[in-house]
Amino acid sequence: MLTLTRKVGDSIYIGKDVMVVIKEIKGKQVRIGVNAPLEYPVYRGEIFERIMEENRASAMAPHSVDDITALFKKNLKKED
Amino acid sequence: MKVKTSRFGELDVPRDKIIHMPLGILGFQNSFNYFILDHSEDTPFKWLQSADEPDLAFVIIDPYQFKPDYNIQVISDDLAPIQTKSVEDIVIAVLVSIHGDPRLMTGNLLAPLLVNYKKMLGMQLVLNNSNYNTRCNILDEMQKNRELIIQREQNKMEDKIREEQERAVVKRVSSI
Repeated sequence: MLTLTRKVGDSIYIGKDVMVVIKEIKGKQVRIGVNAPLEYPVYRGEIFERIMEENRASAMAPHSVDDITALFKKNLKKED
Repeated sequence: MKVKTSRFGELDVPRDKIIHMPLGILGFQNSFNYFILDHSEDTPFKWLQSADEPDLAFVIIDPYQFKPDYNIQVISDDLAPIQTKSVEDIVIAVLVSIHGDPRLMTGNLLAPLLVNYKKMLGMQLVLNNSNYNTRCNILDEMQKNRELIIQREQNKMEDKIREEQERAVVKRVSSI
């Protein structure tokens, strides 16, 4: 992995379109600004990984939604 | 167009029913075209089937069916990939995961699917600043909101009338 040392206010370009700026350093936290075209969505790493993982779980879909439909309906009727 | 699917066989899908997702769905970067299949009329669940990969299909649901107060903050930049600035052009769905046991089924409220139905463009929007999570238990959430959901079902017509009246009031107020 490429590792660079930067100061507050310094920036990095990724390709010609994406610019990353170090905005503030406070103890163990760093505030980063990202300037990227709209077609480059920016995610926090842990959220990106969580969504990937969940999408893969969602893709293990069953072959029928009959079971979940029955549960869904029963759930609304309960306690009537 | 003819589309092969592993669950539903070969389907003839009209081209104007294809939802193009320019960014794809995270984790599935070979699929950019999807379509929505109704399982039957009598279920809140639908299928989001890939037109590019026969095996790839997701179960989706309208989040308001189990989370009536679902509320996402969107800025117009977020919607750039689906070429709109107006939430009025958009329908929202969330991906469902079953986790091997239908009772544990969850909806991904952190990354809803937004479809601009006017241009048939879709995206999975990741909510970077939100307290929603990827695994909201659908049945539990329904129980929590049960009264509201039932009331909504029963009063759909009344709600509609009320909304129209409220809109009329807002119009009147704004013209003062």
